[in-house]
Amino acid sequence: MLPAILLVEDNPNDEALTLRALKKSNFANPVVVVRDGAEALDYLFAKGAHAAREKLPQLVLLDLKLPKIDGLEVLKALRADERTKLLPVVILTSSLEEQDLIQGYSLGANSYVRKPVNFADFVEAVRQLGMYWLVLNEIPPNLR
Amino acid sequence: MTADKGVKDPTSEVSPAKADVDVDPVHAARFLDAIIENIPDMIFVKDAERLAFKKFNRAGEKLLGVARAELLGKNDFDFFPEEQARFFQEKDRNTLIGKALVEMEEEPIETANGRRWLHTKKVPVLDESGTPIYLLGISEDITERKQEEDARRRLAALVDSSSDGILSMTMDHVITTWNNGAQALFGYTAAEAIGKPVSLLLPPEHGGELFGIVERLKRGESVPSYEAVRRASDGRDLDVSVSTFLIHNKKGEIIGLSKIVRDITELKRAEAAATKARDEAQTANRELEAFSYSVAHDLRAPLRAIDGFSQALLEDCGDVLNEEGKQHLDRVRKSAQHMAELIDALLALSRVTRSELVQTTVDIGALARESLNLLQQTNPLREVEVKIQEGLVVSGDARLLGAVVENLVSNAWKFTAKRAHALIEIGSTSEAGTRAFYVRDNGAGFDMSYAAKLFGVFQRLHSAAEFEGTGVGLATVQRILRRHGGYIWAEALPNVGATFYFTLGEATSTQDQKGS
Repeated sequence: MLPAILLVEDNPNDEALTLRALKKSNFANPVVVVRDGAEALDYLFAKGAHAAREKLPQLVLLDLKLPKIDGLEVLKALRADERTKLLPVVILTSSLEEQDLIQGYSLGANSYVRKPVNFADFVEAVRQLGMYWLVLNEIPPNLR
Repeated sequence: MTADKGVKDPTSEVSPAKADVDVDPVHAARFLDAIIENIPDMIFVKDAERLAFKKFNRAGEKLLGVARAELLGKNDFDFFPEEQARFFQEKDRNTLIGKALVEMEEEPIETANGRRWLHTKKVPVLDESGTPIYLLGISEDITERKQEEDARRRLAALVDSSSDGILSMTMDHVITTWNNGAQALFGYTAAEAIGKPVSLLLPPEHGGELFGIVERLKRGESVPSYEAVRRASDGRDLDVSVSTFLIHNKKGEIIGLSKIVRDITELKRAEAAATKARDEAQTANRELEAFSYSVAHDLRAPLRAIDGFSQALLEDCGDVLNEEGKQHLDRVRKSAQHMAELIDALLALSRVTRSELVQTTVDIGALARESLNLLQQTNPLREVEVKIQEGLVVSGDARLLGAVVENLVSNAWKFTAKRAHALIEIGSTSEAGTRAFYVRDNGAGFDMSYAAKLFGVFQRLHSAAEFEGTGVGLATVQRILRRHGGYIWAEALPNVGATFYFTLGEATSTQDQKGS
């Protein structure tokens, strides 16, 4: 079983579009969707509703503005934990505000991609992300 | 005129102690003469009839700067200006007629040494029958004393008229003087304040600073004024600024302290208002940033949905859509795109106002070259002639000025798209003593009667069909230039071209710029 892609996204439209884009690129990895920051941490640390989670995801696509616990807080928490410290995280968000960029990189995101409005561009962005992180990139040892 | 010509020193002739002045008439006369000669005030005697000088002493010669030989036998009119002579004679007559002493505390007199002030007493000398035969005058030169007193009076007037409170006190802090300003400030009259300890003015918790200051002043340090709290007679606390000075007497000894006390309540109120205004501005700025952040995030998401699901519709249901249906969806998608661009442009505009200007040296020419190179790379088929002047160096924010140049240059590029031979020029010129940069093109130009609309947000002078664009770029450019203290204007002719000029609030330059 291939490791999953964790999509952390609260907007149902964006969720649908991202899944559509991923499907178009034909990646084999299953996609797990969580819709707020708290659920994201539950999944990552195998707690609560996700206690039965078996493997850590291979890639996290993280939106920033989330209910309950926001994206940067999630990033901070997962970078602070030994289990998830090395997990590849791509911030996928609307915002191009300098503050978010700075914070995102400072807290240890691997990559920062702005969601384009044009769907064709979005599909292409997701395809490139997937190609890089799921195929080309070497997985950190403890996550294999 | 020297005073001592022809005057023999009488003391050399007689020594009163030796001769018997009470017995020998000659020696007695000489004795009296010696006394008159040596009196340090001017002594003169005039005869009662003609008021001509009969006697004049050495001090008088010195004072008037005239030898007595010149004076004796003559009267005032021979020596003094007519006005003055008349004045003297009037007093003389009053003395003789009234047969009593007449005193002039201050009379001005023109002498060979300039104007002097005299304190003069005139006394009639009567014969046995009581008839005045002589007029005796004694004048003390009070010029120096008068000058000192005048100076003191002027200073006192200054102190009295000052709106600041000026008071002085002994070294034991007992108040010795109190001006009108102090009364206005504290409410006590001079009578109420003088003689009281200065602690009268101090609220209980304050005043400790006084002691250290006196020590520092004694050491010769200059102590700057400081802010303090004082109490008025009605119990109100006053915010004041206090300056302290030592008072010395003529010998240089310290005899007291003087203080200038200024009411700074208004000043403090203004400071508080300014701080409040600044805080409010900062809060407003922060709120604006939060708003922009929301705009960035929240407005784009629905646009993504519009575009994405329109595309999904095309892909998934394309076979049941006719051409018209597909065109509708195309318009929907293009609108979503356009709106995204508008949002980005508005965000850029608001960011310009918010950000801090970082001043460095900026080469406008180099920026233009970069933008044009990029445009040529993305549009390799276009042939555009470019002329860029040298020396277009200026001080400003590199990032923001880069945006200005990029915007103007890409406009020039865009509007020359239909020209077979496009020409874009970048340079500087002198405009009313300041340096103005320009970006000139030979493109579509515009009608000058619409020039006022150029810089409005969302204003466009060409339809989207002719030239694409958001209509926000020039508004942003204008805002950036305004923040640099400069401004922008344009000149154009339809179908000939357009020139956009801008200044950067530079100091008036005396250097002649290259080019027109």
